[in-house]
Amino acid sequence: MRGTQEFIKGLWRENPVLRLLLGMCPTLAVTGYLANGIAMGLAVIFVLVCSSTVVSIFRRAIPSQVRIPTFIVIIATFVVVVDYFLRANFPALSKKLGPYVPLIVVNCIILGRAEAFASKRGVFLSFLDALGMGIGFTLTLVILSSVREVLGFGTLLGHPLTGKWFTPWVVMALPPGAFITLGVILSLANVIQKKIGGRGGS
Amino acid sequence: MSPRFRMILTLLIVGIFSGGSLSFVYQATKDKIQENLKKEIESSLFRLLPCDSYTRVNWKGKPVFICKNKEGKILGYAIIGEGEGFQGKITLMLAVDEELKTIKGIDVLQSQETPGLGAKIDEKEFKSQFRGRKIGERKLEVVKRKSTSEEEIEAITGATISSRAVVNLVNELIQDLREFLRENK
Repeated sequence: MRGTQEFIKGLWRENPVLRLLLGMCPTLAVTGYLANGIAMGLAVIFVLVCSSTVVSIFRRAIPSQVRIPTFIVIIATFVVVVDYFLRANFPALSKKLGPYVPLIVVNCIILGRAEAFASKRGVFLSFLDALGMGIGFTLTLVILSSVREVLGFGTLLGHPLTGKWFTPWVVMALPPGAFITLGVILSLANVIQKKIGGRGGS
Repeated sequence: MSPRFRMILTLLIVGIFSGGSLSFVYQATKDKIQENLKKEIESSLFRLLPCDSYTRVNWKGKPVFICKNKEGKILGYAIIGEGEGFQGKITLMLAVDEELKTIKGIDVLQSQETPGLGAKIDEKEFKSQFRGRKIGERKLEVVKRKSTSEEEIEAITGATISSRAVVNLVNELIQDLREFLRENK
């Protein structure tokens, strides 16, 4: 039961974007298209799960004075793996995501989980925690990028969704659209949290 | 083991493992990444200039492609160059016929223009304007109305700077190809 708890909390109660407000840079930067949002989410899930698991395995061997540089090197290694993998197998996608794949290294969710969870708990729990957090992050990106792609381009995953009558809201495709959409989604999340009660509702 | 030694040892081991595994990943993906880059350029090239073979030469730091048919007759030239866009660089391929009299077309290889506005330089509607233009003494220019002559290219609404950047770059590349032909004919 403990494992299920650690997995589920990332989806809503401690959702990294909606509740912890971490990982804002990729959340705002790559959510213009749904395909980009999904790709970024999957890349983060991979890096997060791998680095949390590795950190947890070696947690007793890493001296606490050098834990942060050690975590960063571990995270950076997995990020470069993802970057090369995308460049070799999905060149078009890799070009679209541009510098935001290498920037996963500084994504606070990943270092945050390594520091707050994986360096203190067992391998299995750390794995579930990372997976839950990663999926929670991805789901939020999917919602955000769907809204932005439909309103900003009138398409979803590149397929035209609206008729010719629809004039795309250019602002939604631009950075301000990311802030506006994220703001609306965050306030909705707060309203829902208040309705269902529980901790951290304010 | 003293704590200081343990710290150094940990970082050393982590660094060796990380470097080692990355060099392995690099080796495994290097060829494919190179191939992707080549394929990307080739797909643009063959779309603009249908030809059977090409030779790539470097001229003043810019790649120039000489396209030939099966008999070895030159069908046209293409050149890749980059210029400043609205936010960051625009990399462009320009293809012309064998006598440098008409533009065969342009393709945007890389750009970071504003999505929904400047990014439209990579859409058919804008790029197709260049196809078939006669190359004369006068340079191409951007207009914010319907194009009425051979030199006028219609700007994208809301992205005049990006449109102008592309047109300037095309003018520059035409000039480069002229010099290239003068020296290599």
